[in-house]
Amino acid sequence: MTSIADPILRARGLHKRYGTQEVLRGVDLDLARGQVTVVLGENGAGKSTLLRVLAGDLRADGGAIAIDGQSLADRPEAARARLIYVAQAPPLAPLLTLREHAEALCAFRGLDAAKAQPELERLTAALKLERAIDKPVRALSGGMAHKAALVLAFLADAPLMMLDEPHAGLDVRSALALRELIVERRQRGTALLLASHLAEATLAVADRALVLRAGRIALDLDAQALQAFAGDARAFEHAVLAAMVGP
Amino acid sequence: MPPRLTRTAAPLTHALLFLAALAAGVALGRVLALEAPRLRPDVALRLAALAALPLPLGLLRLLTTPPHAAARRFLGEPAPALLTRSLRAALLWIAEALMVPVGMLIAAQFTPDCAEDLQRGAALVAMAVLLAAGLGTAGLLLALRTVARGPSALWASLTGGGAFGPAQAAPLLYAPAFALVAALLPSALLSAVWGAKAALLTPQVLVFSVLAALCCALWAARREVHAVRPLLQEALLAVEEAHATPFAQSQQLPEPPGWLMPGPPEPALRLLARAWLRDRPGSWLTTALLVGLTLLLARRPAEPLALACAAAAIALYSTVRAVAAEHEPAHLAAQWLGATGLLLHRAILRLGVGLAVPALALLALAVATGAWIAVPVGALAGVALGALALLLPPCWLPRLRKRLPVLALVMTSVAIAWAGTVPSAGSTAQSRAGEAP
Repeated sequence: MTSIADPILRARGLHKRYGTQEVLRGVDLDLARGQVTVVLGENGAGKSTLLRVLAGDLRADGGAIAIDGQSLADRPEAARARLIYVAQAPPLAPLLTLREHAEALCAFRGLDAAKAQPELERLTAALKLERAIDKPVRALSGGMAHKAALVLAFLADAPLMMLDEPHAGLDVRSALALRELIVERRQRGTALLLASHLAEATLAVADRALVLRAGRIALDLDAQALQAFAGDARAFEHAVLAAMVGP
Repeated sequence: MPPRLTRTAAPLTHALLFLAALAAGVALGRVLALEAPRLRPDVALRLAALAALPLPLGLLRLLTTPPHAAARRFLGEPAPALLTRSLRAALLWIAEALMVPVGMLIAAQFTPDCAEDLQRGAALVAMAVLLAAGLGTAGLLLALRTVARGPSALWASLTGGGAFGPAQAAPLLYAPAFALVAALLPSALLSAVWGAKAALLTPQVLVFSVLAALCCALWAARREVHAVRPLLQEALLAVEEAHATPFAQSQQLPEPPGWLMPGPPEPALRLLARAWLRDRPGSWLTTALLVGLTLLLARRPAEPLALACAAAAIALYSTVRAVAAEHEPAHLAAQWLGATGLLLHRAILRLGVGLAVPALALLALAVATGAWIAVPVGALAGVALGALALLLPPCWLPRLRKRLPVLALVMTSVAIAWAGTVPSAGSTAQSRAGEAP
């Protein structure tokens, strides 16, 4: 495991079980500020469970998590205030608009709504949601609702962002815009943890890639190791596949 | 002949329903005949309420969401045929309800000693049925026309001039429930006249009134149907869509009414209240209606059971609505957006209290007017029933919540009909004194 000084997230010995099925088996993880970490793995490897446990959405059966020094078990509200997690199906209120969600988000997170307005407009323009901003979420297509959740996540300006399959359902232009937003946010010191299946998208933004297999981290590639795959997505895929399948 | 997809449209089913209604009428006539003469006006009014009660619910279903409409369209049934069938089904529904007074008239033939009272009772029931059916149908057609054509300038100015899509018209679809109350008011008046001065209310006068009401209802329904028929098919589709996706098409979304958010609204409360109002546009209307009905009831606190029923209905309604707020998608959204558990808990509590305050205020009025035991007992029973909803699986709550306004309205309407017909303690004492030798 890579140990990092002053990490934004520190997890030790995470265990999670669904009935008799053990999904996470002692995961240790540190995330550095200003770094994009991508978690890869087969379907059912535990990527989404890991993100949900780290975000406090699911309770771990064992282990400890601290976010920005705040223990998720002891001070859940303080810890959760430092992160935003976008699930594959974000829980938006179907009859409220994106703008109304943004208003509520600003109020809950102590952001100045007036100051956040230009940022909201910039984000919606980047993800081509200008015409959907005042429509109820229910009236949006699946891809647009997903983009609306991403807009809110970026607007929240949390020091830690966790995005589960952020590219799912996005058109090419939106996927590229999302990539730019991720890079921009990394430059501002935000830590991002992404779950993904896309090798090319991972290589484009990741500073670190983890491969999850049977509830454990089977491969941990740092920026230097990823640099070796630059421009060769196929070689990266082979390496990831080898780690997924195991010895 | 196009295939039938609904059992209710089968001729045999209708024939059986006609016979059942007729038999029910005969049985109710016997009940009326067995009552003491001085109580017959009150009993007749109760029977009128019972006979008119199924109409609003049936009309609402048949005229706004025809059974299996989507499947029938998918299988190729043309829209005009679908509409015609719905209107025919509504007329059959009304005709079946009219079989009850016919049954009562038949019963009158077998009990000549009280035939006059039975005829009066039958006329009263027929009048309530006709008025409920006529007003309900007219209200529904008007609502459908508004849905199809958009609002008039007057309506737009009343609602703030904003966009007015199909979903905003959804509260209008509750017109039949209002029609029931409107139909029972003249029946209650006639019942009171019958009780006070029976000689003024001869069966001939009543039969003439019923015939006049029937002509008016037929004329209004025919005129309305002709006027809006081309738009109705479009309206039915729009209503179906509105039911499936409320507020999906509108550009201006309504804000929660001020009374729902006493004091400066917190973000969590605003979020939940907005989501609540849009999910349940008829919610505040139902509350207002319940309040009005309770006010009516409180003016006649002679029947503790009726007051207890009304109090239970209102308490049940408020409690389940407050409980259901925790299972709103908006609740999850608020959590995701960063609302703390404490903030959300407080918001749900305030929302629940905000929804219940007007009803509770009127319950206090009911207590002040006399029935101080029945009201708290009924309210406690309602709250206890509502708290039981906590034990239900969360997936049941939306279904329960959807049917609850109708249940509460029905309970309160029955309670009103009950209390309105029972003579107050004072008048009973007076009548007894009058009867004493």
